Amino acid sequence: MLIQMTNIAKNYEIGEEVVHALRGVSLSIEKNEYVAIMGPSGSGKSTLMNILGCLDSPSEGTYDLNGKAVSDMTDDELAEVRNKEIGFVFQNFNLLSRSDSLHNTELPLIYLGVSRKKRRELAIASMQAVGLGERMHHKPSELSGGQRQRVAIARALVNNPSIILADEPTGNLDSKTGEEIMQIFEVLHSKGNTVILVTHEPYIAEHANRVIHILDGQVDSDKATENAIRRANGEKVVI
Amino acid sequence: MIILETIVLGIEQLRTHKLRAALSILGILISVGSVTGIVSLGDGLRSVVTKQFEKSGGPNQISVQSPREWYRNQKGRWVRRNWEEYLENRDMEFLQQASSHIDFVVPIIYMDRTVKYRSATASARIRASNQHHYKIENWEIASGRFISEADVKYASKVTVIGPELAHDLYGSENPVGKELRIEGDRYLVIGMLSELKFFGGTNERHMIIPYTTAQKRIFGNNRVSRFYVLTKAPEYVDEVVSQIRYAMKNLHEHADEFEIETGEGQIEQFNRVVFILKAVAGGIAGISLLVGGIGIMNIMLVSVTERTREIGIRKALGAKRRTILFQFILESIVLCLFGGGLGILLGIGLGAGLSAWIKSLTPAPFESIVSPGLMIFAVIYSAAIGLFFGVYPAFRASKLDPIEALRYE
Ligand SMILES: Nc1ncnc2c1ncn2[C@@H]1O[C@H](COP(=O)(O)OP(=O)(O)OP(=O)(O)O)[C@@H](O)[C@H]1O
Ligand SMILES: [Mg+2]
Repeated sequence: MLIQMTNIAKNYEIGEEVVHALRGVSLSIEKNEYVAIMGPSGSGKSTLMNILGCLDSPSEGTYDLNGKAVSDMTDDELAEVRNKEIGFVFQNFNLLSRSDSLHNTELPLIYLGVSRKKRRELAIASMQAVGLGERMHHKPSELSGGQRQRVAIARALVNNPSIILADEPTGNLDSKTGEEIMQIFEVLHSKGNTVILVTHEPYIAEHANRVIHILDGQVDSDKATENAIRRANGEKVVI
Repeated sequence: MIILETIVLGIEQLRTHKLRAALSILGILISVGSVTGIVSLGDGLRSVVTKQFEKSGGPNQISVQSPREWYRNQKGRWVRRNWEEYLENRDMEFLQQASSHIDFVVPIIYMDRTVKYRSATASARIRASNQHHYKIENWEIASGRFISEADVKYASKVTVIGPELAHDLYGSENPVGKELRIEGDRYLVIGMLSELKFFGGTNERHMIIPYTTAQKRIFGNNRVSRFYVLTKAPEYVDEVVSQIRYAMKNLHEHADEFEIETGEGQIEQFNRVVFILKAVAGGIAGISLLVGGIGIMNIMLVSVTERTREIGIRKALGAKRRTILFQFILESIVLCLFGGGLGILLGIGLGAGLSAWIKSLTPAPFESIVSPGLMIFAVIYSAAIGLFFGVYPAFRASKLDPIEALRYE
């Protein structure tokens, strides 16, 4: 099992009040699954993604990644996992505002220790894959929302991670560009990577094989998509 | 790999916050600058004094002085000795015969007198001595000649005078060949010294006469105030000192009261003074560097807070604690090195400016010296300050929780 979450809860204390962002989420995801997470705003999707991405730690429950308890890992081990195993597309992009898109894209490679030349090559390839070949030397403030989102995606893909976590990766894109991005995820999935993405759009979720609905910090439903069922029945599915 | 990235990052950081960086390195800049300036002056001073010292045979030189007539008793009061003993001509003669390592001996009798030429009067600092005197003082003759062996032998009434004295007595006329009077006695001016000023010391009002002349015509005894013994080479100094001690024991009852000093001893004393000067400068600088360092720490803390999100992003993408730690320490070091580098330039300028100013006050051959050692020290020291004061802010940065840092507004 790649991902095994048991009874994950996340509480935020704000003064007297306690916000229960997640209340006992259990789920397991296997290698090379393609999962869409849906749910209303504030239901806890980003919180769950942050925990999945080893950025945040749960208040309760256990999370095993690749058979290893994440709570046992040291800060440096977590950093290494984030660097090598996981490509994270943040809902709010989280780009370095003073650096151009090329530098933003190559950032994970710096911490991986890739040489400057190789880094440039990989970053450029990754940017071209998301259709940003022309915006290498623009800073985030000089890019449109959709372009920023694509830089964030290029950055998540650049170190060829085995797990892609994308928090609303097409939220700022028109449906055509959104489809282009989804094609990238499709390819990554077909290459054996695990893809988990958060979306509000049912047609985006249809790309996945499995949809998990989150409601009020709990798993409301967890089932295969119609396309997955059709695929399982041997039908050819074109989206 | 990451090191290079980090250095580039640090320099970029400085570029984006030019004014802030400039202000924060001001403390470092000023303290490194002032230390470099002061130490370069000290080194220059030492070098020029050492040069003068060597030129005047300093390393070969031993000074022997008559016992002081007044001394402090146990209660701290000044009292006059109840015995009198002086260096005399026979001491010199004895020594010159006893030792083969002595090159020459310069006896000196010091006295201040009013001298006259026609209606002009002037106060002269008389040094009654012999034909070797000018060698140990780096004096040069502007016109005429110095006193000769024969002048000493025959106790001639001849004199060599300093330039200011010459001016006071003779105006712009050439003094050589003219006469002057000391207490009614007439002396023939045979030479004039060229001007030599050296840190407060000056030969301008000097007047040199043969010591034999002073003994016979002014004092009526055989005493001298002090004499300098010049050995043939520096390595004989110790041996000659013990020979002098031996001679004194033979010739004087209170032999131990005669002060014997070597040139080396004097230069050591001087070096100690310069060292103390440098140490004090260093101490002041150390304190001001501390202040500068606190400035750096402050700016680094501000920088860490300001860049919390950036740190969060870097950590989220795989930067380890030590990578962040290293990044911020390096930034702090780069900042301090900038300050230190500019400080060295400032110090060189300061040293050059001050030495030019000193030169304008006295015509001493003076120049500040910035040794490579000093520069290396300044560079290493500023880097060390950067390291020391960068550690805490960098540590704070490295400890940030990634998700909290990402949420930071
Ligand atoms: N740092 C925090 N402090 C306090 N409460 C928080 C914090 N982060 C999230 N929450 C709360 O947890 C709940 C879940 O937030 P989360 O960001 O996971 O929602 P979401 O499902 O991603 O919503 P959206 O679709 O709008 O992105 C919300 O009620 C939110 O207010
Ligand atoms: Mg969200």
